Amino acid sequence: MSLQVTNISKQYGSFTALKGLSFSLDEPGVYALLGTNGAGKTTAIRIILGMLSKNSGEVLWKGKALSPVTEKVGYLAEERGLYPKFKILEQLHYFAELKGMKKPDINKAIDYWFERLELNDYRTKTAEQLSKGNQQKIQLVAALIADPELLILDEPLSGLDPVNANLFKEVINEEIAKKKYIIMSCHQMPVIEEFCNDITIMHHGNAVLQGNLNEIKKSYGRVNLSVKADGDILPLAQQCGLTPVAVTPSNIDFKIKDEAQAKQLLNKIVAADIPLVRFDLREPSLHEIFVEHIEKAEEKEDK
Amino acid sequence: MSTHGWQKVFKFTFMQQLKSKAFIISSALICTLIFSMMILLGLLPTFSDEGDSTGGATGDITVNKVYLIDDSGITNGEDYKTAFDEMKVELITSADKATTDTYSDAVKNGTACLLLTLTKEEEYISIYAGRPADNSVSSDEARTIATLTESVFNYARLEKYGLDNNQIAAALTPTSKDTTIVGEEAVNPIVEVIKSMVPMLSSLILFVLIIVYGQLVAQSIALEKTSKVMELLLTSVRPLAVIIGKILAMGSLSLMQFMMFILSGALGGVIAVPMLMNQAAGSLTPSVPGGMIPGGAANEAGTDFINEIIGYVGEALSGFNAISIIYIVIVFLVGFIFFALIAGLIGASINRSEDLNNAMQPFAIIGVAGFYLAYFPSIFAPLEDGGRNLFMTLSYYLPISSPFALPSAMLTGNMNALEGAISLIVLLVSTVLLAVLVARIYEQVIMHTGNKLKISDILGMAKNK
Repeated sequence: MSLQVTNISKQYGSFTALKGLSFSLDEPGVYALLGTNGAGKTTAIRIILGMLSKNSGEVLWKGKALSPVTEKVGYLAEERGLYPKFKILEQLHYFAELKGMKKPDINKAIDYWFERLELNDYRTKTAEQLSKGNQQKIQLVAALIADPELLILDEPLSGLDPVNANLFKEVINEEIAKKKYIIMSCHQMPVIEEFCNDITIMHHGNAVLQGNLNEIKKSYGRVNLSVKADGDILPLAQQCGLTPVAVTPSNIDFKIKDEAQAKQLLNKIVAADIPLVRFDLREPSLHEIFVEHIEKAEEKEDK
Repeated sequence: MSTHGWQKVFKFTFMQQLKSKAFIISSALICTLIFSMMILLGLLPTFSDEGDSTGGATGDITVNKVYLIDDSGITNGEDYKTAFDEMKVELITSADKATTDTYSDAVKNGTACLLLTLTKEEEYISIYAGRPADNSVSSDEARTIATLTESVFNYARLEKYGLDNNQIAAALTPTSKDTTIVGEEAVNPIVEVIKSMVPMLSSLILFVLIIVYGQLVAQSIALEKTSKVMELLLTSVRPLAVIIGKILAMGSLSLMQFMMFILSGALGGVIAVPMLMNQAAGSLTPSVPGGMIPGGAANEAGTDFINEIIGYVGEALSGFNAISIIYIVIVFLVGFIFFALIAGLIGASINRSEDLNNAMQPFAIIGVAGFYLAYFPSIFAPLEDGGRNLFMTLSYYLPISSPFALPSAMLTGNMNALEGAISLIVLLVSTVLLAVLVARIYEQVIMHTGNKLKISDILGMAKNK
């Protein structure tokens, strides 16, 4: 077990920012922390990084208390920060030296990452002379420069254009291939689905759902049916006891009880000789799971 | 509470600040100002003499002919010849008072000449120096030559009474007068002026450096917090290492800048003092002990004058030695750390950079209160036994005022070694206690991003940690 977070909590006076969060990364890969704004994700990350004191719990890395001061941990913060008036190369040297790197290794790492992230034209610039996207690339270099085994990415893709978002995704995939342990917090559910094995969904400091993403999805079964046909299928759906949950020009979406119900509708469409464009039976998306659990948690809190 | 990595924070902060335009411009500007002021000080007598007359400046003898009527009955023209020859001044002498009108007309209508008369009055010898109407000779220069004449007269008359050189020197040894209450030492007014100026200047310089660089510590920490750089830093070092590195970097920079100011002043002084010596040699004011004696070089008298001033400064700064300098540097650094800890905590407690000025008000109030307590008691409060008063003593032991008060007290000899050591220990202990308190609070405050923190919130953090 490489990273083990056990029962960490944070209290500010009477306000509970985090309540007994536990999870672990046993194998290299990406672990997702999801949640609404103010759910406690950043608080959890700061506690893991030792920036914030905790009221209870422990964070172990390879069996010992995690200390970012002695362990190389890469961190891309949600709120980006660079010294606006200092040269970016000098800043990166500083951040790398703080991580215990020597000058030749720093230069080598900078050369690699500047090439990889297409930053070579900005070597002599100050941070304030860079675009927001390029500042974000510099932040990513700062997080990766020491080649950390544990990487924490808080909203890594927010504010990036599609081209740079793809570049960041490629880099994340490369880090996964290098067997890194990564914790990622992100509001973009497709990104989480693309990278993450295990997830925790948080709401108001509580973990409302935890586990392996594939298993969570499997546990729901394939209950989402999305149909596109060149004809009116709603009467046929009614005959099967299905009520649409969403009707858009391109799709009609249903929630089904089981796969037999979907098969029944399919047979009726075929029998009616209505041209079928798409008949998609799938597990719930992470987005749907997320919304469902947050709504449930809110209902529970209201009670 | 690990301080691992503070050296790297120190190095980065120091180098970035050193390269900053603000540091370079302010250092260059103030050093140039101090250097120029010293040079101006050296030139000041020249300017004042130029304003006095259209004639030559003091020290630069423009008189080329002196008409001397010696009716003293004690000396004669020959006695003065050597002295005027040395100044390359032609001397025309007469012992006959009848020539007065002739000589007066010659001087009045002439240029760069002077009429000198030595007349025996009933109870004294009168020396008169008359200048030409064209103002080619300044009153200062005329007075200088009259003083020279007086010196020669005093020397010559003693020689005529059969005294040898040693006896003459003994006879001409100057005297001074003082009145005090029996048992108390006499107070030299010049020394007193210097003693009152030193606390003011040293307190002011230290106050400005400590406050300005304290503000910079707060600004720097606030910038890192508000720009979110702090979050990146804290993945590698603990907050305490950040504040220690920053405070020591800023302290070193301020000390370096302070030394640059002193060096500029010293460099200016190296140029200005010889200028002043030349001025003094030329002016030969009557206050110069012993006055001018025949055959003595004017420069010697100038050197004596400067040496006398240096002597007064030395007397006023009786505590100035290598140990006191080390003591002052330690007091300055510890004092700086004391104030910078407060400033750093304030910088860490704000969430928006625009709140910094308001948040720094308590820091400024504490600094100003300490400065006033260090400075004003020595000027306004009545002195008690030992040249001290209660407020001065208080200022030596209170950590908010001692960084400003101790250096001058040590330099002027207002406190003995034991008092100096106790004061420094009090300052050190206070700073350590403050550092412990700040360390307890700092790690919580630096990550606080919610509502504006009040002093009660901050103290609550220290209590609850």
